[in-house]
Amino acid sequence: MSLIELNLFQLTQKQYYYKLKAYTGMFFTMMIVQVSALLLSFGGVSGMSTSSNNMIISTDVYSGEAVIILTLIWAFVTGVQLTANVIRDIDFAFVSNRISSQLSTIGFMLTLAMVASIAATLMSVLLRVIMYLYTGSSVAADSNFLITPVELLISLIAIFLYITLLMSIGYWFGMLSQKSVFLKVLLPTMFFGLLFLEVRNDSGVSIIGDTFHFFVDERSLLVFSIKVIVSVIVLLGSAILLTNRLEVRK
Amino acid sequence: MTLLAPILLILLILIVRFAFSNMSKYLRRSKMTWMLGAYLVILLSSVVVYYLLPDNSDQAPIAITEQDIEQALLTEHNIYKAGETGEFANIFSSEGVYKNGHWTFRYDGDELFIVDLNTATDGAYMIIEQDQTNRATIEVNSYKTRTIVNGMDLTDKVIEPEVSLSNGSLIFTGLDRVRIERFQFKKDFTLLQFSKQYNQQNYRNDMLRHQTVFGTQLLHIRVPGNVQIQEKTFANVYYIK
Repeated sequence: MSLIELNLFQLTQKQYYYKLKAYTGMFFTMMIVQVSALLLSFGGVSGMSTSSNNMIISTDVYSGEAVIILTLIWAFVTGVQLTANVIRDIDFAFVSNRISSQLSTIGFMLTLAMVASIAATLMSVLLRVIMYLYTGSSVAADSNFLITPVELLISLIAIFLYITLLMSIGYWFGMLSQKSVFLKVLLPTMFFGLLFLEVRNDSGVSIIGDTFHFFVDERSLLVFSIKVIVSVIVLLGSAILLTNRLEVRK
Repeated sequence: MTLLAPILLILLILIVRFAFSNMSKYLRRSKMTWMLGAYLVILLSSVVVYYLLPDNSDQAPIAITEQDIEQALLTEHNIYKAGETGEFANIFSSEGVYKNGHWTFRYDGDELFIVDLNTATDGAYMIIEQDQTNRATIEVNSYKTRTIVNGMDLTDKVIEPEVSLSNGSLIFTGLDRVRIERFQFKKDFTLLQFSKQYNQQNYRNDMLRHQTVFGTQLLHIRVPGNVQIQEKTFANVYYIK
């Protein structure tokens, strides 16, 4: 290992720990988002009522999906937020270069993703415990109430991968937006424009839809992991390469 | 509705972004760290509590199979056909028809009024059979068929009516509509996506979870042949001579 590599590692490590302390607010926002989603989940994701001459049955369905979806939105926004000038400028309080700055940010991003995925997975468990205490033990008789430790682990890995992917997309958008004011306006406009077009489904364009299905329709966790890891490497790698020549401070 | 989704997404993004940029203004870092720590402790504790909860799988409504659905539908079809032809003789002993009440009353009057209170027999089949024995006895049998709602057998929840004889009136009461409130959980999409058997077993279970067959109530009343009958009921009445 060369001396330069060692210095880069140490520098990255130093910046990483600094970011971990300085951006506690990001973890806190995640907590607020997840608690809000949990409160929303108490209303149930769906409900139905069936009746006959002698019976009325109402069924409320609960799920931790609201927590996961809101955490994913938080992940995307956080990815963009990590490229904000105020955050990038902090790196230059140290003897720093663009690579160490980006690597420490990626390390911080992965830490955020890990904490957020653990919390989002366990929120589903917390929801079940609260519902058990609130509605009585009969809720535990539902077969979907039980989550085995293996299922928890699968869910944790899947959520971690989804969060990392969304954060990387957000980071990529954010870094590209730093290149020029034009891109700053163009990228969100294109994204939401396409989203509206695809929802209306009369354009024939389906870039976001196809990308979405590329990940969501994958049934093998291993293949899904490979897809996400490759996509994250491409996104973060291209973000680093494209923005390596940005001015130190604007 | 689907057009609202992107708008909702934009709103959510703005809220999260706003929350982040303002959080540090209102809270000190040490306070945030404490709250985060407490949050994670609660989450981890919930896992311990969750796995210590008693196993209540014995309280679960009986899960049904495709054969159960087929049999329940066949039984309902047979009852409907019997209603058309008036041939109920084999219905009471057929598969999927369960006896849930039996009453006998001594009666030597010439007229009998059959009434129900509070729409007690609404939708039920009331089969009135007048035998020729003139044995001065009224016999009432109540039957029910399987009630399957969203893939769960709820036949046990269907209660029998109350029957009484008073001043020449056979009165049906007590059949108020049973209210059942159920809570179900849906597994998260992050789990279902990688569930190995999802395409086979889970899909089958999902299909069964949407199957509903409301059972029928049958009231078989045997009255002496010499008694004149008048009825005021919400049930579908059939006479067998």
